[in-house]
Amino acid sequence: MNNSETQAVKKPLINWKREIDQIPMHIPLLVWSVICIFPLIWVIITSLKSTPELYRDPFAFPQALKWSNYVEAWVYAKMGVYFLNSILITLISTVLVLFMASTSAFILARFEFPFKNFIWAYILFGFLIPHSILLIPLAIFTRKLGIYNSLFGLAIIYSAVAVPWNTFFLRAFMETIPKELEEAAILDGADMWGVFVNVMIPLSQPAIATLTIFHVLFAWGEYILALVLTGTTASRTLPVGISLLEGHFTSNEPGVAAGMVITIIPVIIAFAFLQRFVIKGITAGAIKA
Amino acid sequence: MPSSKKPFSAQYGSRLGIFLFLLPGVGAYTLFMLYPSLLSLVYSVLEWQGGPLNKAPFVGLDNFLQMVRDPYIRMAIGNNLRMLTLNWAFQLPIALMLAYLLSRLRRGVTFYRFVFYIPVILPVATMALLWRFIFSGNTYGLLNNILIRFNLEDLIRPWLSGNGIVQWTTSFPGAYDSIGFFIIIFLAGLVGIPEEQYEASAIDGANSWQQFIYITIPNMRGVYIYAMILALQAALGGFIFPLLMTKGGPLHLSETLISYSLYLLWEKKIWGYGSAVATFSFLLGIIATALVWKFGRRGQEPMSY
Repeated sequence: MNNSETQAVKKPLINWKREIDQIPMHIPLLVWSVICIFPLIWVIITSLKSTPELYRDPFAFPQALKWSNYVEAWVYAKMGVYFLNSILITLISTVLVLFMASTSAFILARFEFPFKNFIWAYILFGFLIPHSILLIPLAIFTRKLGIYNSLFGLAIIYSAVAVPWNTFFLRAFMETIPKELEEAAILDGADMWGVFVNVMIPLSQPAIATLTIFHVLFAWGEYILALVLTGTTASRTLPVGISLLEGHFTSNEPGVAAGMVITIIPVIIAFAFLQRFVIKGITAGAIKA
Repeated sequence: MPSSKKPFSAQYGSRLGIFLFLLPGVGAYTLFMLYPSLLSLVYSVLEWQGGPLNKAPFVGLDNFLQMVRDPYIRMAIGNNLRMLTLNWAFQLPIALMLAYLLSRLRRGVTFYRFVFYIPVILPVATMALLWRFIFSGNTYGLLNNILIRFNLEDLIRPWLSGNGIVQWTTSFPGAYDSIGFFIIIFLAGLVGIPEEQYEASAIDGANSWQQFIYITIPNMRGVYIYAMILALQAALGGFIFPLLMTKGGPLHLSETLISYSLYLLWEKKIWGYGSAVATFSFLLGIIATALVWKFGRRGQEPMSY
């Protein structure tokens, strides 16, 4: 800001030219914005229509807002149950993965020990493993452990498969944290846990915020593991529920749209509030590089 | 770099403490990710149609040889390659151009970044339903309605069932979906390009397009190769839109390797062969990644797309 203002004082002519240059840049950006937003708006409008209205003209606005579509989706299509399940799984798995990744990252960022490089490579190997090859083994294995078709089981698996990426990100961040505060804490008699909880975690907050939003988005939208590892309404999540919607609603597409809106609204709100953490994380990464 | 010497930290780190701190993360990852992935390799050399695992006979590489004779495998690979084509020829160039515009923009960056990221954050299952509305052949099909409005009825096609069409309509959503993600990646890279290069070229009279070609692209090479690898892995492991839009059909036309393996695993219950298909997809992804990495590092010219 400051920089450009001083420039404006020094060479106003060049700056005016630049301001005008900006206008054509907005055209493609606006076009792409419409492409990104239009489907969203269409779903919201459609969710408030009646079926005949949709069939007559899919782009028209409804005569009267048909809120009962939401009641049908929430109650009859059980989206309400799936919604709560998704919230629980998202919360539990986010807390779990942040705990598991931050403890590991703390050790890898701060200590030397035998096989350290091996353990690091071992964790990074997880980057290569696609979720699709885990399905059959996990379907069998979770049944053996008694965590098949359970919210907690799915939450554990969501956090486990996210350990490599979260550990990688947190280790990189923790290595940039200066050691002075840690040393002061040790002089005050803190042990490993004390340093971890009172120094490393508070200082890692920007990275943790970034990882939180990424994991929340992942857990909220994940489909294939949830499909394979849950079997009943009691433990199904929203993405699985939404794929079953059409079975519930034959020729009630607006009801389907209402169900879609139910899955969309929370992520939009969460992202609107937490977007700055995503940017913060990326900016931090850019400065490091 | 700063982590290579840490005499002070060593004073309070006990072996037991280190072990206990590593245990939750490494343990959960081992149990629920690494171990299952190895099991999958084991399953893929068995002839196993459910039932007790220890009674499934070992067949060596037979499952992999069977894939050579399986016409559906060839169709599936074709669709994965369609996804790759769209990701490399459409998704990444669009993302790079939009990110470039954003990096040069003075006002509205936050707004655009928010809007562009929306398709990324929406659950894929919801997006897949949306694409079915778009391509639907019913009276409410969005694409057909738009074509009718512009008097382009001739272009109406059976989007979700026509051979030669459904393969593309199920590949396209994945490419569209992640553009916002790559915009963020590219934007982070663009921030790192020294501003002086742009200023110097502006003084020489270069316009935005020339700056993009002669400054941005050469500087973005490393980030672009990284993005190409991510897009490659997404394409070779892609399955979610075909699965949710057409169930890989009609007649397996829109199947990818992974959606086909899911079909074998859950509908046909051929677990050994199904695991082999998934393993093949996994190995294919690793090999292709290594090739891109090697090729990308070696070539002297900026990566073309």
